[in-house]
Amino acid sequence: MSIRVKNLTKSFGEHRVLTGIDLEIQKGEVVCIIGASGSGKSTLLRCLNLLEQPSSGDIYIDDENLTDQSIQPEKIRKRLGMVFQHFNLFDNLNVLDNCTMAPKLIHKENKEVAEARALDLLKKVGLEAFSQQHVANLSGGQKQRVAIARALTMNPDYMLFDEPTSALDPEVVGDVLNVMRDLAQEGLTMVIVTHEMQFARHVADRVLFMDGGKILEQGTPEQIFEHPQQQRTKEFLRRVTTWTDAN
Amino acid sequence: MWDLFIDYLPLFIEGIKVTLFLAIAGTFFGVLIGAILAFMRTQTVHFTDGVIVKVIKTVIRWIAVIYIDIIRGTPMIVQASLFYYGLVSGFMPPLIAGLVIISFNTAAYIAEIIRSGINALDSGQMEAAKSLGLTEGQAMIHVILPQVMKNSLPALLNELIVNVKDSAVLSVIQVTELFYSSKSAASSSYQVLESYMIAAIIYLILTLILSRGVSYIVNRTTKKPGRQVTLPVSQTVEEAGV
Ligand SMILES: Nc1ncnc2c1ncn2[C@@H]1O[C@H](COP(=O)(O)OP(=O)(O)O)[C@@H](O)[C@H]1O
Ligand SMILES: [Mg+2]
Repeated sequence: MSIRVKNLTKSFGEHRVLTGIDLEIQKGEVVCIIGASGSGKSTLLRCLNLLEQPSSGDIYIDDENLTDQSIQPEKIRKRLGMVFQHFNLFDNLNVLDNCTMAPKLIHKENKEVAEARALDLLKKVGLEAFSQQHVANLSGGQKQRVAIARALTMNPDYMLFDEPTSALDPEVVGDVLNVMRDLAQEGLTMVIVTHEMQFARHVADRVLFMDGGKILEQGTPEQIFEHPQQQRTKEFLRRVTTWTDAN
Repeated sequence: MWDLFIDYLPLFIEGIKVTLFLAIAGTFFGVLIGAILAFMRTQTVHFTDGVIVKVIKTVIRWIAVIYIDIIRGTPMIVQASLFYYGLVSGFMPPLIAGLVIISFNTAAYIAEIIRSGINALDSGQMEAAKSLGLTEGQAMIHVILPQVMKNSLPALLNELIVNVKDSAVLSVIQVTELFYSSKSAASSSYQVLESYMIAAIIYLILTLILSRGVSYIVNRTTKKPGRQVTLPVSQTVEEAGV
């Protein structure tokens, strides 16, 4: 069980966003992707569940090749949970219904089974008491935890997180990161685009640094954060970890 | 004028009933047909679609585009005459023909309201639904359309008010709505000015009541937490109503 990306490229018109990505993620691994804005992190993640069309190359989820013409995207997507920067909770539903709609529609779970499982997961993210609330009444941190629970209701084999805390107020970032750390410790396979360097350092098995549509450098958190090899990596880490008013 | 109104009361009452029936039932069916048209109109071809699906989607979209253009580009009075006198006058009663015409006419306008609602909705909603494994159709029915309908409520109710007034053209195919009633009153009483004044006043009262009702519904829906209704930017309901 693994995600394998081979020589993936992606262009938007003339604009080359991913230039030959090779990547393998094993079941149970937690991979954090760091890099400057515009380096292609989101695009890479979105290619993995076919929200974007790869321009060339291959992506294997387990043994299915996503670039196969016969692939049914729904079948792939339900195995890869995705958490977005802006939560994207369904605004027409309450918290519980957000978490039961997909299992009921796709796994044909009956109401009781779906709700019991959703409540379990809401409990796990600390929001059981909010199950009947409308999503508009939640804070950002609560919304993101519901979004994580919602993705987990489909029992995905892999979870993709695209800057899950970037839209949050600083004081609630920790709540979301704690939930993600717990998931990592339970052995869930996770690919996380993040700017939370401390989180990446402590939770990731592997850190990828992306720059200009390439994976420029990868390694253990220790290798990347303590002994970066590439000049670009060093510069990036210096910029995100220290502030000076030199410029 | 009051005497005239009393003398012809049953005629005017009949007219009011038929007008309201056409406006309400026509808007109701218009929303159903309009939602289907909007769904057809917003079909987009994806890289994950097979060749046949791509062709089908393209054809479906063009059918909707052409239909909407034709309906919106021709007067309803012409559509009604063409449909009734040209096709169905032998076997379809005018009232039913009128309902068909007003429903399929308003559907084209409602389709555009719904389509712009679909386009205005945050694309993250569709992406989240897809990322959970929903098909595009499932996402449309369970996530997108419920929100679009709610957001479009003011514009849809406004279409109801428009239909109260526009149903008057159906008198051309002998539908006994309010304008037809006043025409009959005018020709049998010879009080032409008064008859049409009565019609104007009744239309005004109906549309005023409806637009106040719409404002009330919209405001009430807006006040409930988490159930916001966005008014179309170009117009408030009150302005658009009458
Ligand atoms: N849908 C799109 N159409 C055109 N260009 C896009 C689109 N999505 C992303 N891009 C471009 O691709 C580049 C990489 O974007 P993205 O993957 O979002 O980077 P990151 O997530 O690392 O900030 C950017 O230059 C961005 O403008
Ligand atoms: Mg991004």
